[in-house]
Amino acid sequence: MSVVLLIDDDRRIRNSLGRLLRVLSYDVVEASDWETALELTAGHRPDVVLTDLHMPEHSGVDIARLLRGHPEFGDTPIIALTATPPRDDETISLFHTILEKPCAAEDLERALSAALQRGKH
Amino acid sequence: MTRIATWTASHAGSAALRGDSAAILAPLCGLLYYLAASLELALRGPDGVPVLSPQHGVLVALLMVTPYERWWALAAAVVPAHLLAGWNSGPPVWLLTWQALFNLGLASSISTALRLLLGQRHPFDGLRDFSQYALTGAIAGPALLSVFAPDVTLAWLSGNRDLALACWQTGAVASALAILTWTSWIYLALLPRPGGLQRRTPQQYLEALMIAAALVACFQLAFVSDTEHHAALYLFFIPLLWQSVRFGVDAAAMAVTLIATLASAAERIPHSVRIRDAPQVAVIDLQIFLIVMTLIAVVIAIVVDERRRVAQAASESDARYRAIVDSQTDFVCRSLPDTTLTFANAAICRYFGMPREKVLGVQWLQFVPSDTRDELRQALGRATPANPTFMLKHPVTLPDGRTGWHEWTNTAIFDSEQRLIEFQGTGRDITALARAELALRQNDERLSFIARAACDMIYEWDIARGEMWSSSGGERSECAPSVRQVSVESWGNYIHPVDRDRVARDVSQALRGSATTWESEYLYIGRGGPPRWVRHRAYIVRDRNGIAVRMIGAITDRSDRKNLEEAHRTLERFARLAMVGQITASIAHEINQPLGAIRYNAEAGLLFLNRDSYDKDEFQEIFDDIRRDNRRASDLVTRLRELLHDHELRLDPIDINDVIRDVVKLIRVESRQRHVQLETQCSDLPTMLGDYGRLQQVLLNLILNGMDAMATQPEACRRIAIRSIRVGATRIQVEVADRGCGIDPVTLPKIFDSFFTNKAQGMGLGLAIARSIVEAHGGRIWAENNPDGVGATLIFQIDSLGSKVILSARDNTDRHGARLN
Repeated sequence: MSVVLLIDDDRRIRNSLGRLLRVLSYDVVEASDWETALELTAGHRPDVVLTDLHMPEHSGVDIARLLRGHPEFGDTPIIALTATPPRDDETISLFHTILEKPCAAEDLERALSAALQRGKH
Repeated sequence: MTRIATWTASHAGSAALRGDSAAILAPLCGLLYYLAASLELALRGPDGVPVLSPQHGVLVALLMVTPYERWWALAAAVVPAHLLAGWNSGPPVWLLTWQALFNLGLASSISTALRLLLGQRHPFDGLRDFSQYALTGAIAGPALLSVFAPDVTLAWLSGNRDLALACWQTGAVASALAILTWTSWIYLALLPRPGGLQRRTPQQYLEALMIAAALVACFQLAFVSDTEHHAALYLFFIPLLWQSVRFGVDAAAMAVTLIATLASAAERIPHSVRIRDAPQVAVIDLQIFLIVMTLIAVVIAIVVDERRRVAQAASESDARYRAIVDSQTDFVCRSLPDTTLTFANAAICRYFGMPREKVLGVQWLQFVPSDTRDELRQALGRATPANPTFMLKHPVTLPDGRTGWHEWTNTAIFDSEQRLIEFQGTGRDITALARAELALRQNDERLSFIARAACDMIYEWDIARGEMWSSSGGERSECAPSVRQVSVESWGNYIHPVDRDRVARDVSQALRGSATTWESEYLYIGRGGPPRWVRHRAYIVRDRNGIAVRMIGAITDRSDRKNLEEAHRTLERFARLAMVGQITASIAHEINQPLGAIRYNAEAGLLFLNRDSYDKDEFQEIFDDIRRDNRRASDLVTRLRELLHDHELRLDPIDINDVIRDVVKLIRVESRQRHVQLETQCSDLPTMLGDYGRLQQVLLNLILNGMDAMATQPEACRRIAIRSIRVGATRIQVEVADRGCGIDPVTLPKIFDSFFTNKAQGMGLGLAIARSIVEAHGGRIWAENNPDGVGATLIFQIDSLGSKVILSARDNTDRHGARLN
């Protein structure tokens, strides 16, 4: 089973989205902030990262930049979930997919599958 | 003299005699009778014919003034006196006794007849009474009774009818003459009348003396002088009539008595009074002459007396009238048509400080200020015979130069040809009244102008009488405002139908209760015109039993203020929307979060369903989560609605810490985007009465203001601390401390003023609205620079006790347009 790192500061989102991902047959690890996220990335080596963009302290964009620059996990596909999608190319280029939240299960699965496919390549 | 006075005098005279004992009365009467009887004997004519019978006159006069019950004393004295007087004259005792009894009978009969006829009236008061006296006492009485005279009876019995007739004739005439002369003066002497001799001046005594001398001279010429002077008889009448005219009936009576007596004694009957030459007939002629003379003198005296009394009465009445008029404090005057004064009472003279003779002849218009004279002349000219009475109220110039006020009721007097003769008027000084009236009117005007200046209508409602007075200020009339009476019903009609029932209900409820004040706001339409918002404040006066008896109030036009409030509210609404606009992202995020969670749970649930088997517990969890998130979303929406909803201040029991937490949630994304760290520090606080949404607004404003203040600070330093603490027993204080640039101490007191801003894009309304909301809660808001010199703290304090809050909030309602329901 593929491992998904879910990053969201909102516990309820983590709960519900985590539940959906598990139903979709993913292993889910959850982080509420960037530090936990980095720890879990190192510990679980997720196949794909699913992050909220707007969070206190460090946003999803900060985390994406951090991962992209990481020598080991730089290629890990990152999917962003946001209500207000970014417009600038630099930010967009950080992510494999930017999903408008809340998204349907099919869209999520499609995005995850695509990201995983790319990760295997 | 009036008959009352006569009666009094008569009564007094009777009383004087009644007071004397019979022992005095009898000898007195006897003496007088003796002298009179002696005189009668002396006065007998050459053939023993009686010319004058003074004893009859004396006796009639005495009997007339003596009460009946004392007559016996007179009767007892008469017989001996008569016997004594006639003892040496020749007749026998029985004849003398007979004569005495006859005299007594004649006198008493005549006295009785006169008393019955005249009653209490004085015989010399008027012609009518005197004619009764003369006809009864002097003519009928002696004529009828002399038939029973002893000499007549004896002559008749002896068969000498001619002698009897002659005796009857002379006896009757002698009695008549005596009663006309002697009775008159004795009666008048015994019952002296006011205005008689006792009040004569020395000049009058001299005049009387001259008259007496003239009389004596005429008497001498007519009766004594050997040479007969026919003209002397006529000359006689000159002093006699002079006397009658000048000295009245008593003097005339004395004079004629004297003349008659002297003439009788003269033993000489002048040729000029004789009609026939027979000696006996000549006596009759003399007697007739004397009777005529007496009648003329007495009648003239009576007529003159009567006139004099009437004149005196009129003069006394005039004096009394004058005294009454002069004693009045009101003014009484008469004036000619050109206002020349012909009469002025003492009050007028006193008022103008002038003697009467100076006042009379002056035109009273001169006392009136010149600018009023034409108006008064016109008013005087309007009097007509049909409407002669009119009232004048006009100013007068007082002796000291000041202006007073008079009020006159005048009556114009017209002659038979309807020509104006004079004006009669009564007036009074109303200066004090006029001044008081003027002061009242000025006061009233002043009040009304004040009322108008304040766009107010002031009124007083006398509930007990159902009367209402109101200033016309509310009608905005241009004419001089005044207080006028209005009906209570019309009052109700001044209120717009929309509010009429409500106001009526409120008023009657207030009156029934125990409150002493009442206030309301409603749409006022007055007597037509556009409806206006008014505030009606009233004071209710209650009697001892607490029953409302009066209501005094003022109605203030609030249209402008109401419009201002509307504008204020609109501004506030826009400011709120603008504020919310600033945190849209935050709000969207806060709403999206639970919606997202719900969506994911729903998707998960659907996927579970598509499986062959699923865990029931998992489903339970999904639904529980969905419900929780839904609640979270709807709570948020409720809070947002609270924040955005345009309602009037609503006080509910709230926890201010909930407000803080919600606001922090709402603004979380915003603060994140602005890199501002929000810290909260909530103490344990009592529940307070407050408007949740409005307090959210306050807090949001304060936090956004803090964020703005830190915009230029390094991101790491941007921190806002929100703290709630309890101050004292009941007050709750919320502080929002930023680490920004602080506030210039000069502008520190102004930052809560409307349209005060340091920000390029700010409207300067956020903090002003925050203040109005806090003050509407009865609280206060202020700002302080932080003690460490970095940033500022905005603080508001609200009392958690509802009653205080409500009271304070009501006080602040006016200023800030927020209202409590």
